[in-house]
Amino acid sequence: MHFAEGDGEATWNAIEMDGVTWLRVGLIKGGATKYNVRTPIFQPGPIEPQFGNRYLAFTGFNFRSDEQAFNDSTMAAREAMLQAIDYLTNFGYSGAQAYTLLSVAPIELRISGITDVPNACVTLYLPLDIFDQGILPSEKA
Amino acid sequence: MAPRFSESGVSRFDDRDMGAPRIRCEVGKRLSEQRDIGHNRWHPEVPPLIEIEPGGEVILEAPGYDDYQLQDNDNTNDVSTMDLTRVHPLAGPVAVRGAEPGDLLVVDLLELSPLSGVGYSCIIPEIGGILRDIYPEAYKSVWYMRGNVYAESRHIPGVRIPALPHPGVIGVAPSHEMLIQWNDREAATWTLRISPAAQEYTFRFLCQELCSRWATCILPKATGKPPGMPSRWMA
Repeated sequence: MHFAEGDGEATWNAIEMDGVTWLRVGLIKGGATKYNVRTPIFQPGPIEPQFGNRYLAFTGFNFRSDEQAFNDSTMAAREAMLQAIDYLTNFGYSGAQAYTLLSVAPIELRISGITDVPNACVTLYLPLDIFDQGILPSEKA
Repeated sequence: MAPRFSESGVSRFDDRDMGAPRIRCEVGKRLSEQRDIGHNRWHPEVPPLIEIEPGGEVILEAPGYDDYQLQDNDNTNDVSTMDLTRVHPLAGPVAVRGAEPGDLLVVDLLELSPLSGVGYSCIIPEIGGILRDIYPEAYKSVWYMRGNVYAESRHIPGVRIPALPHPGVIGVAPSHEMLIQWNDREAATWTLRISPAAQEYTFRFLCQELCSRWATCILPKATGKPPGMPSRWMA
C-alpha cells in the first residue's frame, strides 16, 4: 500500500507501507460490456490534502540543449522533474532526496501541451505547504 | 523521545473481531510465513483464500511491497540485496460469488491505514524509475506514520507528507487467454527499454510462473486449456 505518492511515482517507489484495506464489493452483471469498460475506472476518494493554489509549478519540454524530440510527453515529464530537482538543491536537498520527494509528495504532473508540435509540455506542480521553509524565489534569500 | 516504530510484530490495527472476514498480516513476517498466505503473481490458477457475496465486505492486511526485507536503519544494504521476486505481496485472492468476465466489479475502499506505521521509499540500482540513469546509486528513506495524516522521515528533513493513501496494487485475475496476450504484447518492449539487470528481474518474474509454490500454478502457454475460462476475480 502507499501512504502517499506523487503523480508518476517517479523513482518506482511511493511511501510504501504494510497496511490494511477494508473494502466492500458490488457486482454489476454484464456491466463491463454494457458500459464499454476495458480498463479500470474509478472515483477519487473524498479526503485530499488542501493546497489551494499554493504550488510552485515547473515546466518541462521535449528538448534540452541541442537535443530535440517530437511531441514526447515522457521526455517533457522527465525534464520537468530534472528542473524541479535542480531547483530544490538550493534548499539543502541532495539530488536523491529531491528525486524521492517528487515520487512521494502529492505533486501533480499535468500534460499541458501535446498539440503545439514539435514540443510537448508537461508541468510539475509542487505543493509549497509540505516544506517547513519557504521555497519561492526571493531577492532577499 | 522519538516513538519506537520499529518494534517487530506491532500492528496498529487491533487484532479483534471487526465483523467482516479478514486476511491477516503478522507484522515483520514475510508473506510465505504468514498464516494467510497471499500471492504476488497475476494468474488465474491461484486459489482464492476467501469467498464473499456481492455486497459483502472484507478486511485485507498485507506487508509492504518489500515483503519486510527493508530495515529501519540508515544504510542501503537491504536495498542493494533486495529479492525482487518477493515484491508486491498481495492479500488474496478474494473470490466474489457469481462474478464472471463481462461483469463490472465495484470495489468501495472504506479504509486504508498503516499497519506498523513504518514506510520506505527507495531508489533501487538498475530499477530506480524514470531518472535511474542520473541517480544510479541505492538510496533509502524511512518514513514514520503515526496514523492517517502525516508521514515524516529523518532522511528527508524539513518536509511533512500528507496522507493520500491508496491500495498500491489492486486488480482482478486474468484469464489464461488474457495472460498470454499480456506476455506476448509486452515481451518486445523489455529488450528495448530496460537495462540488462532489470531485464533479468523481469524474466525472473516470468520464470516464477513456472515454479510457483502453488502446485496448480502452471505456465499459461503450456496448459492446453481452452482460452476464455472464467477468471477469478481478485481484489
